[in-house]
Amino acid sequence: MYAIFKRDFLQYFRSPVGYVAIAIFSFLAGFIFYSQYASGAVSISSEVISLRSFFVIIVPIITMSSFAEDKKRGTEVLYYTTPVDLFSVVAGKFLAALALFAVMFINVFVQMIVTVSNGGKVGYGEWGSVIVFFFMAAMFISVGLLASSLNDNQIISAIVAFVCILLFQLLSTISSYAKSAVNAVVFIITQDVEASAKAGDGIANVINWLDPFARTSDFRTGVFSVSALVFCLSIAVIFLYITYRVLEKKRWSQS
Amino acid sequence: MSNKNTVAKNSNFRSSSVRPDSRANTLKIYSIGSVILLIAIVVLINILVTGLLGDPLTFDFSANSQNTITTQTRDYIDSMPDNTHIRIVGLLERPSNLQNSPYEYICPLLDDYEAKSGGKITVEYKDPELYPSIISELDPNNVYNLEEGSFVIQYNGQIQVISPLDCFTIDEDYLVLYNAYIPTSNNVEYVFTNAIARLLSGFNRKAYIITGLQDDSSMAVKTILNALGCDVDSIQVSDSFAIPDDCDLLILNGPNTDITEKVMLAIEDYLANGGKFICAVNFTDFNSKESFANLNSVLNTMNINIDPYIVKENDVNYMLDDSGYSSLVSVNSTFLELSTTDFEMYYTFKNSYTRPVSILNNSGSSFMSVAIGGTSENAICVKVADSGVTQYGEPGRYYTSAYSTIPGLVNKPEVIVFGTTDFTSDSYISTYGMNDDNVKFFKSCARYLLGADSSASVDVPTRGISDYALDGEKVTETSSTVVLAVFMISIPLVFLVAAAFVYEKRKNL
Repeated sequence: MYAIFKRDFLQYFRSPVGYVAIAIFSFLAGFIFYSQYASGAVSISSEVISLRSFFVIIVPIITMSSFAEDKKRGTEVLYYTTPVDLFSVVAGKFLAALALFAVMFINVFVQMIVTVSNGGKVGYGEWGSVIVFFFMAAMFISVGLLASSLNDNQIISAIVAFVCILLFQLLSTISSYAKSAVNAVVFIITQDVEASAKAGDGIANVINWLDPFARTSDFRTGVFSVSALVFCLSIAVIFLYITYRVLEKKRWSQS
Repeated sequence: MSNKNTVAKNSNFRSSSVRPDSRANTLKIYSIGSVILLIAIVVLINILVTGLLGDPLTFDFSANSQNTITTQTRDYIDSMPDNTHIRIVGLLERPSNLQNSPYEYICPLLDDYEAKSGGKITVEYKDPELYPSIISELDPNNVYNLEEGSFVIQYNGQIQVISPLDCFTIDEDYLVLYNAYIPTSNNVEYVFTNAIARLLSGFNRKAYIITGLQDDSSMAVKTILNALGCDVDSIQVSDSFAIPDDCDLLILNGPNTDITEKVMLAIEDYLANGGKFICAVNFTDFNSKESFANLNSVLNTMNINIDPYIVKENDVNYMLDDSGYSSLVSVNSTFLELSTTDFEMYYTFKNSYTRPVSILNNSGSSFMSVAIGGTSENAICVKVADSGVTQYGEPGRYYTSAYSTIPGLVNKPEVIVFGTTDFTSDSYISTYGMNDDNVKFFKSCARYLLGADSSASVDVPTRGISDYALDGEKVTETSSTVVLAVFMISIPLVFLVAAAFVYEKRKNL
């Protein structure tokens, strides 16, 4: 696993991908930080939680080449022919992408130092938001890895990852539309305003339960919820396992 | 025999040629099954973690612990009988994004009330547009005119209504200048806990604030009185001015013009019938020429007078600014003896732009009049006459607040007079917060005059608003430009150049 991790992590810096990802992340983090700094008040929690919105751009860039590039070059066959556990391959690539996120995040750590040196506050709440950021990053990286394992075209992989992450990001909007729709349908059937509202709330609650952004939004105000971290980790485990099964399928379908 | 062997061999060959498909199907089923099983396990774990361990595993890391109820509230909730059920209903959909809204401070704290009440308090959110019956359910007689966005606390059919704005002290100066609300302190827990205490104790009083005398707003005073279990209304000064019969406490807060004769007679009558009166007057450019003759006429019936001067402190140990118009005042020892039983103990207060409050020497009177706060022995009082000539009083100790009553009466009138608005003004309270000694003393006075017992209110400290402000001296235009240049331009540019360099170097590999 370490060999895969090392190879993939260094690969980010042997190609423009890692640099471009860091450049985009730095620009976005810099933009938010500058806006706050110029207004005279910096909340690192607020910045970090806002940065969650850009997973949809950064993660596909990082993960699009993870498996698709190997397939394109034909080096993928090495995973099946060498005595290496496929889950180690998935885990190694996953950790490499997460490590790249850590490298990108150095920028925010520097901003924290600047904040403190300018009389601002960086407390436990801010560190809590950093932790949840990495858990969410892990979750979305696992989504991106699955997208990359499904085909050998990097662009298609990136688009699939983009759409999947966008869907996660739009869950709150989807839930409010679903709520309105269910409201309307139940009202037409029952003519009961409150029954339709309850049905709408029910469907919205189910969709919101799946929404990692809603679960982690309270971190902005200093709330640190372990259940939100468990949720992100669980989703990551599911997607990593599916990625592993996708690779495993190729092993037995090749035999 | 040989034919049989051939057939057997063929049959074996056929079955071995089918085996890979069957193995693939088995692996496919295993693969899908294991994924479904994993998803089921993960969902189950999450339901368990959220449902059973969600609250114990949720921590409040905010700077002011703004999302956690204090020990005072916890103790109060613990002291409630086990069968108590208090329902808090937010008349809105719970906002999914709390950022930069008052709900940022309210919703997470209410979650904590619910989590730590052991079932005694439930919190729910019902948007009246989606649940129209909630209004009639909470307020069947439509007494409270419930509005969307507010919170209703219900207990035994009685309700208390809290608007999000009630939960904050607002920067009054900013409001006047820019007509925008900037919260300066977070009173969410103070307001909610005291509303619950008020419902449970059944304590209910009514206070009236006299308005229409170019007076300052009294939002903070209203919040304090509400928390003490007191409904507050205003009475506008007019030709038909009258003090309602249900008035338990009358307040005159920061008038800039004198009361009319009609008001004077009404207050005199109110006091003669055992009324309770708090009056706060200061000395500013707006009222420096006002001697408050009618107000003094009322106060004189209670043995007190507000003098038409401004107190100037000369003792550096008391002065809070170079001019001496803002200073500390020490609490009179006679009042301290009284306060051990009826008031909370305080030793110094901040006073600014203060009028001297003097006790009249009505010989043979049955008054018990006590000065509360006093300057050092080196203070003077200053008066600017209409001609512009400055007149100075004698150096000495001047009192800045006083209490007066007529003991022995069944319905004894009681008056507390402040020669400054530093106990009651929104401006002062928004600057120093509810935990300031002046403000706590005002609470203590109001509690005493209203006859509130300790069960009707809980002394919950208020908190600051999350303050992420940087040092104003360090954040200059230059430093902002440096931040922009480094974080938004240079760092991204360096990595883009590196990307281009790597691409150029490896494009032919």
